[in-house]
Amino acid sequence: MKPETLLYRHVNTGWLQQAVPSSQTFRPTQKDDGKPSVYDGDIIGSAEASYVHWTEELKLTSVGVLAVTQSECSIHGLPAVTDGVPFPSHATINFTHCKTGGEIRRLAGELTKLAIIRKWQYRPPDAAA
Amino acid sequence: MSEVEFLKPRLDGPRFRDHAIPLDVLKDLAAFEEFLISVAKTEWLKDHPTRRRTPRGFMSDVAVKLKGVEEGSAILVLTAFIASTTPLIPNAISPQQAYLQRASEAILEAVSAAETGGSPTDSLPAKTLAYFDRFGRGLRDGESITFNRGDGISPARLTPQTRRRLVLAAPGVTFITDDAVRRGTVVDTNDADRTFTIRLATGQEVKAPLPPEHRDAILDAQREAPSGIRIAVHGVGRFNRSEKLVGFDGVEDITPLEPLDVPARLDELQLLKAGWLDGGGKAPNAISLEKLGQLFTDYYPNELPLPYTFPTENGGVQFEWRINEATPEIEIDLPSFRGEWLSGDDEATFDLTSAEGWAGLADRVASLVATILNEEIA
Repeated sequence: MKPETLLYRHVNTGWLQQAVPSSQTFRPTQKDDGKPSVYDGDIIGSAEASYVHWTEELKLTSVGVLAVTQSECSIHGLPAVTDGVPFPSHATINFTHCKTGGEIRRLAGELTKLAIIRKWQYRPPDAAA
Repeated sequence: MSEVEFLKPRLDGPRFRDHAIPLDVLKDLAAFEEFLISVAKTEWLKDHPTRRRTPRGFMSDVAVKLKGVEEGSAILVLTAFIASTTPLIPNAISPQQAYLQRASEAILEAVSAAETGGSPTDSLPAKTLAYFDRFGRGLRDGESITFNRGDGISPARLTPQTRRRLVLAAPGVTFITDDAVRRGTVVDTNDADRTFTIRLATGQEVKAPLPPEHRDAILDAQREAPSGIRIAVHGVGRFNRSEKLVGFDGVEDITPLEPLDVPARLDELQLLKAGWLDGGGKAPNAISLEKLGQLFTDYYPNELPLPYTFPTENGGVQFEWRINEATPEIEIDLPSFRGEWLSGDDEATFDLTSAEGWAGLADRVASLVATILNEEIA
């Protein structure tokens, strides 16, 4: 993974209102064990390919794909690594060093802000503008 | 003309704490007067079994008036004015007054029975229970009207729940009306029937009368429905025995909604099922969402920007504001309504069941708005 590698994250249907994604988008959920999953953009190839994998292989829902880079995570003290499990392009952003829930919320919010500035990497054709 | 103070019901609930009576509750009192007189006539007929109707004009010169509001949440002083009869015997009560008192005792006995699991029809004819469809309709959850009944007798307490039991105690009654607010898109207007139809977040379509004074707003909303414009309809809703709204009997107000309207968004969140978040994610509790919407409506200042509203993994709700570069948020646990505020390094906790908690939240948002405005001016 290079510093400029894009890390794709899918936005859940519930976390989009009036085309604005929630700051929770990059926040680890309970099943993430402090390490939310992302796609390594260099391996999956494109945001659209990650969408196809997410919705057709994993059968999960997505209203679109946002991305941050490995270096943006690193600047915030969040190591991002490709682990290749359970699929080759699988990567994680590591929040486990965060000491408080507030810190996790703040850093996840910062990543979402950066991703929004970068704009949607992919939106399915039937998604609202 | 005689004047008799005969009932002093006490209104309890947040809206009555300043000893004031909202005008919509006064409609209930008007219904109560009709109710009393109807039951008084029934009592007279009980005493005169050979008569099929009451004497002409019986009770027509009786008026129940609100004479004052006393302190103690809000205590209403209800006085009967009886125009025509001054008893010939000093200190005797007129027949009208006697039947009025019996009517009030019968009504309060029925309320008490409904509250304690008894049978309201033991004290009131079933057909008169329909008056409870109007009397008490203005009460909201958590509010009540308490009637003291003299020494040794427990007070009778009318709540939205006891009112419902009373209305549905009458045989053949399948619907109950109640104050209702519903939000949705206008999908149809029918000038011939003078009705319009809104589609709620659940997909249910509900028909309502088309009030001439709101016709233009409703037509505008219908035109703009494809772009997601919604309205709030406030009126008298008709509910079935399962408490499902089946239609509006009357419309009092129509309000076009902002795209970020919070209660409308909370309606949508009620549709989330467990597992909504990639297999995880707890479904938010519908009652808590309703309550949050009401609290937001009651306490969040209109002049402040509306937040985006999102579900949280644990079945709560997160409000997120976009105030230029600032992106404050508050994560609200349900059903505790404890809110964890976060804006940059600023963290705070608010109890959002209380007016103070909402005031604290509003202060934080207002302060950020003021900072942005000052920066823009500078």
